Amino acid sequence: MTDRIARERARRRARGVFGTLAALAASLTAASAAVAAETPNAPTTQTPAPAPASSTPAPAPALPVPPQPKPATDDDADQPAAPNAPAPTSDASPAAPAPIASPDTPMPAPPSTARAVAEPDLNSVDDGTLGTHQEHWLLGIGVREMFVTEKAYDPFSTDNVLPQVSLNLGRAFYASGPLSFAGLFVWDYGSTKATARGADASLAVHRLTAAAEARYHLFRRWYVFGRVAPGALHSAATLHDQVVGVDRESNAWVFTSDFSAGSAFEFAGDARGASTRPRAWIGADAGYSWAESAKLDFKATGADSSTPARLEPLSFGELAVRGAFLRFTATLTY
Amino acid sequence: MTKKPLICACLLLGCGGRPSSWDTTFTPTDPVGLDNAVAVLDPTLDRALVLTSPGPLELKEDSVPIGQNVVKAQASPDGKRLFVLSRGVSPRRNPGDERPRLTLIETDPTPTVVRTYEFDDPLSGLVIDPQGEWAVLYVTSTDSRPVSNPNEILLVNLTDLSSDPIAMTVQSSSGSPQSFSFTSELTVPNGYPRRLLVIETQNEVTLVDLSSSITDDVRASRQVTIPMPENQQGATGAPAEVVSHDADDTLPAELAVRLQNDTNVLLLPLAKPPDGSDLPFYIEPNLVDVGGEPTTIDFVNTDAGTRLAALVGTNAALVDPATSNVLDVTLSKPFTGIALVTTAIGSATQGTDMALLWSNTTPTIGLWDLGAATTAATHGLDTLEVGASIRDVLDVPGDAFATSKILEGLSGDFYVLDLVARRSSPMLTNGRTFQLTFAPDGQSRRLWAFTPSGADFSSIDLGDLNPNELHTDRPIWDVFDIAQSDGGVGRTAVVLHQVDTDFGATLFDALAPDTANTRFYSALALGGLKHD
Repeated sequence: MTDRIARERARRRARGVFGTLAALAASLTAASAAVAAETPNAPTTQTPAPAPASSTPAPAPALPVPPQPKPATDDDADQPAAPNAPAPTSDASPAAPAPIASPDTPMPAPPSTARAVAEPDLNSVDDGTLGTHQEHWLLGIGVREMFVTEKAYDPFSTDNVLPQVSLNLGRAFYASGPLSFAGLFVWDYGSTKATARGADASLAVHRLTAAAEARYHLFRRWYVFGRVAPGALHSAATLHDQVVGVDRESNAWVFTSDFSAGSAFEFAGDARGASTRPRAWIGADAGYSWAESAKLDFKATGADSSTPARLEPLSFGELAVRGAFLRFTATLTY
Repeated sequence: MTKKPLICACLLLGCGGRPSSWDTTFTPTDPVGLDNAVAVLDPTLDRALVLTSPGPLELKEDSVPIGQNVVKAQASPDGKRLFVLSRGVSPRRNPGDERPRLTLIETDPTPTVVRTYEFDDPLSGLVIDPQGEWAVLYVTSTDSRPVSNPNEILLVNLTDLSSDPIAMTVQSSSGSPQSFSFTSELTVPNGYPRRLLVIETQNEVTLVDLSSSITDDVRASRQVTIPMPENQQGATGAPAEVVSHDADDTLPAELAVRLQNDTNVLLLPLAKPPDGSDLPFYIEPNLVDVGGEPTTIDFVNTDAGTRLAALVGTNAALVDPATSNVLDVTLSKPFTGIALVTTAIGSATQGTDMALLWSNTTPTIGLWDLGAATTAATHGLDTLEVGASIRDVLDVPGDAFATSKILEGLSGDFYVLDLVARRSSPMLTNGRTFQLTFAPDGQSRRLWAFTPSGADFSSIDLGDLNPNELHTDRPIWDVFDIAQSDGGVGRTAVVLHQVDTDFGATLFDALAPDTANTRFYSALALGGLKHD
């Protein structure tokens, strides 16, 4: 009993980011230990799970009582590996982390602190489920380095690299056991500049894609994913024409698609799957970004009476902003 | 240890940077006009950018590799070939370092390197035979080496591109080659007619037999070197000009040398060699005083026979090569230049020549009928006043205007002279000095006049002499009139513009130039680097 009280106190202290990290470590440890002890979907008195957040929460009890096992419902039947139920067999990989709460958790507070404990934060109670670890809205920002080896890219970069900033917004909308699916809108923007035999040259690239992402949770806070992201790419190339004395531009919209695989790790957030509080993730993915070729015909901008008459377009052939890429993303989920 | 995976990752991802050519700058050198192309050397990238016009107002740009450290580029007289002489890597430290080379480029049907001649020592001098049969590479004062042979030359036979250059040392006791010229085919007493290479050193003239019937060793050993005589001041004479004349019924083939600061001219008849000799000719020098320092000399056919004409002050000294007798003909004006126009006027059937005389000291030109040089009171000279002293006389390429000459005045004005009508049409330039250029084949029947760095220029139709004022939107670098490639029958005028580290071109229809009908192409220095 003393150990339990100590654990509970430690858990209360573990609020906030660092607390969450500590809780995460505890959860992971417990999950590993509990894999063998997981039980089928049916409720168990040995490892009861609190009711998921999606169910009608019970009013906060004046005095904590041991949570009652939630009976199986039709909703649960639709989700064979529902977050509130660990995988039925130990070979279901990965096993949903087993709840670490013991049947008599949370512990009754001592009488002197009964009033404070009378309103416990349910989000602090680990329910052992994937919950919003898995299904959530997400908003991410990241950096993306793309390596474009196209010859037509040479005027704009000295090192074949296209640095980009990446924003994504989406939702993980379907889950089945450790597997889940997400849809995202992704905007990547990057620019690069260099000199082409003394002439200033620059390239700005917008990539707008709708991504479909399949995820697999190895742990509640760690999943791997594969992503396909078709969309549109807008390139805006500029070259300063020394002879004419104006900037010449070439803009194009083309089809593009990213193919990548990666992993994300939740570094901040409640252990409790049913928690309604935001979570923070860091992730990385790598893959290949394909894009159609676009003609790189530079036309004069800002032409005036001093611009030579019948100025011919300056053709650089075709540019395809395609190549391998690596992206690091910080994501907030809710 | 930690770098290895990073390098591997970079290689896998293609993180290798771009070609260094993008980081170089274009350094302009004088462009070279060809028959159907314009070659702009890009020495920092060891290439020539060859501009052709496949259709009306169309421009095509090709990149052709040339050697490293280019020292000279020159077109063949017919405009069909481009010669680029380069020094290579000097000193060579690695076996792969490029040697000095002569790159031969042809532009028809597409710009291509047709032959590269490599040699051991860097040479900076290049002379192309006007008939396109030979090229000479020679040492100049810029070719500094620890041990140098200033008389080293390489002869390149351009009629047989498979042959190797012929290395030889010019026979000279005290000098080194200063000037090269090629004779026409000369009849020799002992053997087939042949051409000679005339090499002028500081104090000698050396003749090299260019006959194809002798071996290279024989060619080297059969050089004939004629030392120049001392002048009136006791100094050894220096050759200033060499002219030649083929044999006729009465005279052997002959060369004549004008000497610097000397009233004498040196006659070099190609006489019959001693019996038993296998030499093709034997030189019997003959020194003749023409009464003053001549400004120029040439062989002419007069009513009295073949003579060497030397312009001395207001006289012309007619030297009989056979007897060395000199006949002074008063010309009334101090003419300083002479050019035979016999064929152009069509008077060759009379057996005597017509000569155009001009002067850089008086605004008068003369048309000299040498058929009356020794008999008539006027000595056959007709004079014509022009507005300025004449700096140079240009031939109009092609056959369309064979009777026209362009007189470049010292004042900047220029004149179109009709030899038949004996009429000079002035083209006034308000004191500006224009550069004049033609199509190499004269097919556009036009003369182009421009001032470098100006934006206005003119096209003069040689038929009606009507100047057509033209304008470009950027300062002019150079103007070329080229034939269309790819079988096109039209012609294109390529007006180059050089700005900062780039260049562009305005294209005109050379047959009907009009400022309202042009196309402007820019960023041509990026040619060949672009992904096109």
